[in-house]
Amino acid sequence: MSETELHPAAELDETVHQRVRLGILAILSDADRATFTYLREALDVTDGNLSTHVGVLAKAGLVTVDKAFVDNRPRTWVRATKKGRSTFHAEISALRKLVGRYQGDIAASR
Amino acid sequence: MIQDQSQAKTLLTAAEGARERTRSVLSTNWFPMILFGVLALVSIPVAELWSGMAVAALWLVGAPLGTVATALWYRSRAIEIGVSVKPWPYVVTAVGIVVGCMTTGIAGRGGPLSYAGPLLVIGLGYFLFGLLDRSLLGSGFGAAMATVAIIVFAVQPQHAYTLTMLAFGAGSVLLGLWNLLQDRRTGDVGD
Repeated sequence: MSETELHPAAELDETVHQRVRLGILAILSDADRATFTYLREALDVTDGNLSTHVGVLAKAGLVTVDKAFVDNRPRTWVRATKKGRSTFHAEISALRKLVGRYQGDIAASR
Repeated sequence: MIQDQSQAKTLLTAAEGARERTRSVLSTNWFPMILFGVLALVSIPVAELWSGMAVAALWLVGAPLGTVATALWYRSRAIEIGVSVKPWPYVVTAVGIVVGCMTTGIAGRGGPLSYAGPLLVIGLGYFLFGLLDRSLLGSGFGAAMATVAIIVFAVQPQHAYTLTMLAFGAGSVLLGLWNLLQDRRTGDVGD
């Protein structure tokens, strides 16, 4: 590694480097939008926990939240923004580099 | 640092798992597969017993109605399960199939293009749907239908329309039933 080359960990994004927040963006990277209920069940978290993490992502401009009524029942839909999708892909790429490096370290130590 | 890297692996596995499960839920397509497969099978006796005009009328009414029914099914499913696919690539492909089938069907009236053309368009459309769903089975079926269309166009066998619609209809219904079975299994796990 050259001196100017950054460690892959430096490319990680503080906002999305967290299981639930990365999970939300992972789901929304392939879907158009998902409900709060779907995200809660898919990620196995509580309402309050999910609400906090969605709030962090929304504040960072990575997702948008829309409330709508379907059959007189409120539904909260979460959608990834363009920035959210690109941040997700950059994070996955950085994680893959880091994991690749980790596996390389293990192989070298054998 | 090793802890960082180990945590990275855990995060990556969790994110890829969540993404994979969502892709699986979103690639459910049994309704249109069965609907259009049945429509193709129904068109066989119409072609054999009545006329080419009756078949054309069946498709002119059935294809747009089936497309609208499919759109409504996807919409209601999205509301029911709480996650929806990006609609535009699917809408563009579906409209392309309907327009392409009608154009080749009308342009090739009386000739082999009238049955090989629509099947080629359907095959290419299903191939695209397969790519969108990341389904090897779906895109493989589309490619197979496009190949059948080219062979039928070149060979021009007797009862060509019946043969092509039998291949498409039976294949589409079988794939639809397989997808329905997978969907029910996934649903059971989710419950």
